[in-house]
Amino acid sequence: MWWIGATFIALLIAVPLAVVVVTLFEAPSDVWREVVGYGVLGTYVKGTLIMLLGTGLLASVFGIGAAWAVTVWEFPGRRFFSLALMFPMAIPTYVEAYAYDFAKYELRDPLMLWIRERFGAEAMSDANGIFNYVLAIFVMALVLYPYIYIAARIGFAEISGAYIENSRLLGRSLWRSLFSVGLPLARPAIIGGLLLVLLEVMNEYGAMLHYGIETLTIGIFNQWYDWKDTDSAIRLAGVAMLVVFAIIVAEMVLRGRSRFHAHHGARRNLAEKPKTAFGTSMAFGFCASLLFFAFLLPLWQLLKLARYGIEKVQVGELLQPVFGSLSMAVLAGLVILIAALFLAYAARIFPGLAMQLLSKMCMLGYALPGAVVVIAMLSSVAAISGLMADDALTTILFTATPIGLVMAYAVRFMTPALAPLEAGMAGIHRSMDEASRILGRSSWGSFFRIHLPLLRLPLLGALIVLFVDILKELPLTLVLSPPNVETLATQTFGLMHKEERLAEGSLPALILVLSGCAGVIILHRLIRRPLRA
Amino acid sequence: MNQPFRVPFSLAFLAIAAGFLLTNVAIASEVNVYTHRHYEADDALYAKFTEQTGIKVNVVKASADALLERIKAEGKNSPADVLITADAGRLVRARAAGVLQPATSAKLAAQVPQNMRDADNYWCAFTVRARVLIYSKQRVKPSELDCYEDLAQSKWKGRIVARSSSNIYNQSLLASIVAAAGMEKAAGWARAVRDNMARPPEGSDRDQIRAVAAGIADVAIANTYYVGLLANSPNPEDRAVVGKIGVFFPNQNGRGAHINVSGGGVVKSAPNRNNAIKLLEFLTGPEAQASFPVTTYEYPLDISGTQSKLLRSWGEFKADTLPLQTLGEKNADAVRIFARAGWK
Repeated sequence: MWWIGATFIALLIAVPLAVVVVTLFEAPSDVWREVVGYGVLGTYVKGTLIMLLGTGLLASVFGIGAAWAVTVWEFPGRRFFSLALMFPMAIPTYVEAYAYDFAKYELRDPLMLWIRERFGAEAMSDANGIFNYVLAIFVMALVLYPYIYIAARIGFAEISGAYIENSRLLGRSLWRSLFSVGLPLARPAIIGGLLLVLLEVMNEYGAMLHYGIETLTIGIFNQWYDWKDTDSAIRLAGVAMLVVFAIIVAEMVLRGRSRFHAHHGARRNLAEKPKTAFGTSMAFGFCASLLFFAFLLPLWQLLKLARYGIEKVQVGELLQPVFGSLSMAVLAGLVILIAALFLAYAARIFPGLAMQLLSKMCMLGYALPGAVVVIAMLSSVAAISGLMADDALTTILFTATPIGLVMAYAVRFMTPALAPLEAGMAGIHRSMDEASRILGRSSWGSFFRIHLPLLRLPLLGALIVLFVDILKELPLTLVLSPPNVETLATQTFGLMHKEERLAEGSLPALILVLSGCAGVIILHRLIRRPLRA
Repeated sequence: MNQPFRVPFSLAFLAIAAGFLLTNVAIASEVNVYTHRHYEADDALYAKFTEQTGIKVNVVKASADALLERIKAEGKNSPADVLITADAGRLVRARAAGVLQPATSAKLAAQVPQNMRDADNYWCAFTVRARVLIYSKQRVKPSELDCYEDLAQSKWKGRIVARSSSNIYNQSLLASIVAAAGMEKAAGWARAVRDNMARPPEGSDRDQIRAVAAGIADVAIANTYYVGLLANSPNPEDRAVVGKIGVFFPNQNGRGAHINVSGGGVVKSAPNRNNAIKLLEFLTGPEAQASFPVTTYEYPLDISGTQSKLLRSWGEFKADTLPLQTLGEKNADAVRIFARAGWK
């Protein structure tokens, strides 16, 4: 039963992704050979790797550091920070990039002029490129670290305070305990969060174009839009997907048989948080400056622009999509979450390789640029509807209802749901399953009585990430929506990115970001025992 | 069900109800538009069209390439009546993909100049933008500028900025150079201009104009409406940029400045073909034509007839009369040349 259900869900998600894999085995087009001949493939891979490495590292430092600080230290505003540090992920990357444009005009350009004066025009051109890489990594890490932060918070919260206390009794500082206790025990969760960050970096398009950085995703769009070679675009996407699959499987193998259990029986928080002046001010300083650079400063920039834009737009109209966007994000988020729960539980009760690979396959959609998911989705639906006598399938899926859009979201966003749930499952000791079985409960019974309650935190984390991701989502929403649907994200994209009316666009951007934050707060409150350390 | 999950689930049911509200209800007279133009001003025009004709306009806004894929996937069942793109090249591609049908009407023939529509009437233009040179008033005299070809000279070393070649406006410009001078000369031009750039391509036309104002470069290649956008921005910093730059129409002693268009075509499977033609007639008609220079700072089809003060302030200019279809036909050559020239 579980096996069949999980296979069905996995197939639904894997079919569009299989379209991508299949093209890898077809003969390459002339365009592909030509493009590879120019050596651009190497450029794309280089750009992608630099961004992956830089953003992955910086986002880890931000995310893990912040999570550890709010978990083990007591400092003024700790409860506020523990919630507010999630907010930056409500800002779409390209909006954060626009908000940081002041760094280009007020910092970079004067610096470049000085470099040209001192070292010449070529040096300026090179320095400009390096500056753009640094700024892009910084900006990406600022909006993406919350994925790691949330995962690490959950990971740390599942660790019994006793472990940390023991570590301190052994004479280790809290800082050293992070490396000896926190990181090893929370590793599955943190890796899950890091995976999300890396995949987000892989598929980023707008910000890369903004900074002139060439990545595989930029290459995919070049193939598709410029060379009109959809096959090569998908082939390149397939290359990107293989890289990601390798990362996921490598992680799975590395984790191997070693299992870390959270010791639920003795779960309690740190009895007493130490209050050394130095530790407290460090923790506060870290969290405050992170929140400042990731959220408050960009918000201030948007507000500055909004001051000019407010006269030119009808704010009432901009508010119209708020309810529709928020409810769509929650609805689609729950659908995906339920599917992910099914997959994660099936992978637990059937620990064989086939089921493991099946659930990992479903995670690949997150690595692809949304636009590639669009092509894959459209071509698989076209193929299926071609088999049917009356091809009303596309009408049902895309014109009359948003069902097709929700399915596309599921293909795209299975990872943010599955990764935390798998990490959470890994933290539940197998002896619990066995005990439940011995007591005569069915697998359904064990699921509802044992696993679901223990997965509360991962479920909460997954729902928050899904909600924000769907709220910000663009390419799928734009192409696969029924007509006349305007969401907060498409509205912002239209004014800010397409029309480049930044002052006017800052208003829907602010509405989008604040709605996202409000949603995060509400979701956080809904679960009775929220993420309070 | 576990207590804490009750609230989210009831929210979900609310959301399902909302989803039904979002879905459109079919009404008697409508036209379905798939458009690349994500502009507020277009929405206002559609509203006016509905007011005048009673025909409801349903809109899907996404990139032209993705919309083309959607129309193909939907097949003969596609609800799309009109496909609108922001360049001629993609209309040529849509025709080649077999998703358009010819639409002849006396009004369209009268309102759209010959070179601004497909030879067999598969599509027609409704607004025009010119690709010009933006120069620093401080460091460049207009008399130093001449034509696009001139940017290849060594005197411009380290002084030019332009956006990425993945942008269709650059591709169309190069396609027009290929049409005028042939592959080889166009390739030499692209290489030389790339070598003359002050920095690698990044950002949009707007960023190039700002780079000229900031002193990073002296000349930028950009579309006219970006200047309009900056000049009319509510942000004083944007308006300050306009004071530092000048607009130069190149190739006035030769074939004229390069222009591109936004345009639309009737989709082959259009369920509302007549309404689709009516919408194109409206977009090319006097009311819509008078609105574009004011709302999106684009030129109307009758370029020299525009009454817009802003557009007139840049001066009258001679536009390249190359049939726009050619831009689509030479696009592949342009893309290949850019790739070889290392103009990313």
